[in-house]
Amino acid sequence: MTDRTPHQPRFVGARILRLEDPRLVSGQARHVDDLVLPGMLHLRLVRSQLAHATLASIDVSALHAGFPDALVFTGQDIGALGIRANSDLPSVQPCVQPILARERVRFVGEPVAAVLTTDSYSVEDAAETVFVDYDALPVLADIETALAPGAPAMFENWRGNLFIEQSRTGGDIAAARARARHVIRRTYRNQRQAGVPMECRGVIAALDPTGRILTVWSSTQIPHLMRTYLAQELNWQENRIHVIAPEVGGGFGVKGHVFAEDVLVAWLAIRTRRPIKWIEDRREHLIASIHAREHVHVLEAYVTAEGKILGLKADITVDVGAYSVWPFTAASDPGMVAKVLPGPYDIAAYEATYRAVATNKCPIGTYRGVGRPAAVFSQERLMNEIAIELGIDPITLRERNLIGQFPYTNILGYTYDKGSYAESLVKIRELVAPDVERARKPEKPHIRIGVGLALFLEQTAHGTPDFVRRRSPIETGYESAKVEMHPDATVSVDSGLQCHGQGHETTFAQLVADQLGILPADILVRHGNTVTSPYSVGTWGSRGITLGGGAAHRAAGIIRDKLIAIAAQHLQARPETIELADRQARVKGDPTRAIGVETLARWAQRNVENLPPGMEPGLIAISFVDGPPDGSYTNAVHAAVVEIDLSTGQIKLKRFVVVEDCGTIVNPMIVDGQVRGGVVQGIGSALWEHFVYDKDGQPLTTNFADYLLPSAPGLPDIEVHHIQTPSPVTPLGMKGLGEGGAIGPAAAIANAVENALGVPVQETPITPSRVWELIKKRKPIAAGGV
Amino acid sequence: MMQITLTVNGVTKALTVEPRRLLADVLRHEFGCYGVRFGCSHGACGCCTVHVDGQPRLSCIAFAVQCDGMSIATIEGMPKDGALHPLQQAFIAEHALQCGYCTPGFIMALAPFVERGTDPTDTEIRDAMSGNICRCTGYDGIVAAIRRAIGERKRVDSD
Amino acid sequence: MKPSAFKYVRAGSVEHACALLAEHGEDARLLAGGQSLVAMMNLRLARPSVLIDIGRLALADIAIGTGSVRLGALTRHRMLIEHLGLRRMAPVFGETARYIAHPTIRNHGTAGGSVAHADPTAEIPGLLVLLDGHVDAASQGSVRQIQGRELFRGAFSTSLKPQEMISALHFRIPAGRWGGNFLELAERVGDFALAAVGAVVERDGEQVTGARIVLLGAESVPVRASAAEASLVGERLTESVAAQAGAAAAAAQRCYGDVRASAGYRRHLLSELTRRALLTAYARAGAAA
Repeated sequence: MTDRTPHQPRFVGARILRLEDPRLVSGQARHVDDLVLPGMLHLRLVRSQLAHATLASIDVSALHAGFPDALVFTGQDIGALGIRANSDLPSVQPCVQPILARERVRFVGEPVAAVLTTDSYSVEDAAETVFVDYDALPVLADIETALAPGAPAMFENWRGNLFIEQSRTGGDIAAARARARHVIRRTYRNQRQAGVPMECRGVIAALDPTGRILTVWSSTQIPHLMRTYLAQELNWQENRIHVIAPEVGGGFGVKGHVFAEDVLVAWLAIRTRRPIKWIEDRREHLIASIHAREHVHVLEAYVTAEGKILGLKADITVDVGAYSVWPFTAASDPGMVAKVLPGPYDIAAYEATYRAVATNKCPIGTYRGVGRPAAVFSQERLMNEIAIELGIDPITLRERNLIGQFPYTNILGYTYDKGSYAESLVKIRELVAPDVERARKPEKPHIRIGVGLALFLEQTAHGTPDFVRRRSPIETGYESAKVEMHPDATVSVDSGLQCHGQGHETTFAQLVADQLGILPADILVRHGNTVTSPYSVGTWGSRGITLGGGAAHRAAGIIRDKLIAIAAQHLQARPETIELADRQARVKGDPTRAIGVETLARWAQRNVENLPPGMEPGLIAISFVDGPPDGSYTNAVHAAVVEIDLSTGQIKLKRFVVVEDCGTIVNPMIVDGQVRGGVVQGIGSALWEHFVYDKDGQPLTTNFADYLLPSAPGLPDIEVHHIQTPSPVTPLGMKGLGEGGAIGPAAAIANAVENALGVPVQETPITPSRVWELIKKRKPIAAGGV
Repeated sequence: MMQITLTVNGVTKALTVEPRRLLADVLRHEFGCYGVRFGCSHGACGCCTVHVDGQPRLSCIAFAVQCDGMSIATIEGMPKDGALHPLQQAFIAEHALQCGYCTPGFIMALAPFVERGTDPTDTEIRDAMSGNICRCTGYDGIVAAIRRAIGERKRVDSD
Repeated sequence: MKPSAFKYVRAGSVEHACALLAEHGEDARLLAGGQSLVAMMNLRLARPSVLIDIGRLALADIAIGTGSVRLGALTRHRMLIEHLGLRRMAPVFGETARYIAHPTIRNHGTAGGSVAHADPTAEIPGLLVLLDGHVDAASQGSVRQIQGRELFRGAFSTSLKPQEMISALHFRIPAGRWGGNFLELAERVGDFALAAVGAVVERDGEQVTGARIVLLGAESVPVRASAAEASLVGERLTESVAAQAGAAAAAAQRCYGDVRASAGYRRHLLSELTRRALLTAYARAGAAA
């Protein structure tokens, strides 16, 4: 299904400045919080202060006395509405998150009551007066407590506190073990994190004056999925719900969910017949949106004397918190690890058991990378530990296990399209060679330098079969676009995606401009609006450019064909001899035979008598592009150079180098930006970000003084290098890249710290305090290198 | 309620406000300056940075009543004579933004730094933006934008 | 995250502010730069019913005397970095202030506010204790001096009375050849310190004639390492003497552990930072005219 642009691309591949930027740098962008509707009520949630408790009573008498105009709703009012994110995979224990807690609360921050007033300040005053009486229950604060025999069950009818426990196997693991010279077993841990887009979540919902149309403005990555879920849960017709995501200030997966608040605000708007606004505050975001990671992996590799991995056994446990999230479910993170652990290596036997453990914490959802940062941490730490144990250079060990032939079908049956795994290793080796030298000969007695790398691939733009296998509520893997050329030859592109920083307004315009022979500036890309765009599953999973861009490219191709057909009649030429360029349709090689695209566009819509006989008027096309069944595999290698002060445990990241291959690049500036931004989030995972709960399930890192995001001074410039291996299975050979940057850093940095200190690193974040503990364990390292 | 007068981007307005109203809220809702954004509401991310009497200030941890009689500039006031401020232009040229939510705060925090007339190192540039969090870009583009804007300023100065 | 309601009064003078404090008692809080207080109010961790805005009082002056530095209570952190006289006479002020939060915060945060807030690892309280300082605590009709070492009672707790406001901070600067150094280790630039150490060394030739060491991160208040200070007097401050002093200073501390750092790590950092700060201060004292 390779699509080719009919002539030399002019804009695809070019560093075009972003069309969306002028409004963004001048304060003209409008987010949910900027929207004010007449008669609007502000919502404040009373949230659970305990991690696990029975709701004894909710006393609203003080609220009514102090705020006679305030409205208040509890779980009793809202009834059985909930977030139902279950699959029918065997071993799944279903659960429902009530929109407002009813009998029981299961994490600190869970919504308990909804208070409405006319002002965002007074509503906080009012909400404070709601008195909730709790009967505390034993808190399942971690994996061990939740899985201990006799632990109370999180949900009725549950046996044990597991949302899911499944296995994935391929090949003969027993035989691999029997043939192995070395059995190398390690345990790796990644901490709990928060996603933290700079704009918090927010929802406004309002009925139209007839009461028939419900419009929901939400800071969401998935407007259509939200519409479908709201329709199901509220029992409304889907054509009477409009979901609009206005400017969205970052998402990173966090906003790729339907949350209790989304349903609640919609329900309140219907119930009160007033516009309802809810803007999440930063503390709420940190304690009660979604969290990410919190993995424990026990890996066992069966390895020959030469370092060939014959088999890999994995036990994957994720502390997924109190509820299953929609649409990705509680299985998402552990399931992803089990799926991707074989990575870029040719492993003939594999057995993974994965489980999602229910605890009294904020639910785990999808955050940039979804399980892969943890999987790659374990995979690439294990590669280094095998290399050290066997006395083999770590790059050589990787090369001995690397997949060399494409397409390649891995042990679980996933087929990888062509990549550049081996070339990327060669390239990174050259790039960091001077640092490897410096690491061997430290210049200062108390400073150690280390170099580490992580090689990985990322399944992107996966198609429907991948989601059918998961049996999660996403269900499909396609993306859509509607392209319309207007009579003046300007173009509107309506994408079902939601763009919150990815630059779709520019890259889609580049794709369409090349198809139609016009300029990107002639094209207006609109997105995030269920009213204007065809159905879509949203912006996540590194799928936007490949599938959404691919759909825009194809829809524009339909219009191109029609413009050429009209031009062919007028120019008396065969269609295949006509090209669109410079706002003209012209016969290739004969510039005198040309007609303006604007004339063609006008004819197609206003002077339709000029159309070829039988041709329908109009220049509008819709395309749906499904992803390849197993997706398209982007690959990358990340290298980190660290400097560690042995006397303080302070760790400085001196260099971070990326060699990545996302196939055909539409806009190199935007690709570099996505990679750099992702890398810095990954550095945050490696060094700083840690969401901490105490043993009572109370969150301890509820503000930005305690939850540490990467800030500019602690970071080096991120060096990005490209290899372009176009995919044979996607439009234009594009592969996704949005998440990749975040996947490698924890592994690369941990490997660098190991290289510097000669002590294995098995846990993130690698804080100064942890480095100091590692320094105390130091002994000379057996094998060096990267 | 208190009577105050604020001059915002050159427009002076008398207002009656509750003392507890944060400057950011008053700028947004009374002056329509929606480029002033709440990122954390506790002075730890820089999204709400504006200039109060010429100095960068976090408008989420300032009360409007504290600024009575003062002159305030927001991102909306940065373009001059219809042209974007050189730092705004540099942000576009260097891909210093993705979602753009933090961008007004960065520009307001760093415009005086760019205009100061020194020639900073990369470390100094990064330290100057330590109070502003960008979750999208990884900061490289922002460093480059500041460098570009300083270069532009020097070019103009030497003309 | 919006603050609860309060009554706002702008003080026209120190006397006025004190009168207002006397009138409103414990329900009132002074608002100086507001860089910590307003954040806490937004989180509703602080909910004063009266805010007395002292931000416009003319208390942002720096006066350098013989052997002393006086900071008006509203001296902004940024002024400590940029003040030319301070940079010449006592660069340790600017060196310390650079660790405080971020540039925008340093534009508005005040010395008096920082001391009154009494965050356990805040820099200005550390400097006050290091430089044998005291504050002028004004109340209606009187001013009393509170020594830095007696001012800090615990985390976010001082011996100031509800009706008192800090009007000025005084620091004692050594008369002879001296050097200072302030070192801090935090996870990111501008974060609260895991540990920080300030040192002042006076010397006569090679010999130490006086030493002061303050430790942040050992207790909930800044503490002086008195025994280690005393042990240095009369010594030539070599690498090993500095290391011993650092070890001695830290060993005497209980230190606290939290999610950021264990007590043991903090103790180790205090030892190492003391060693480094002493050596730098000693070298600077040697270079001083």
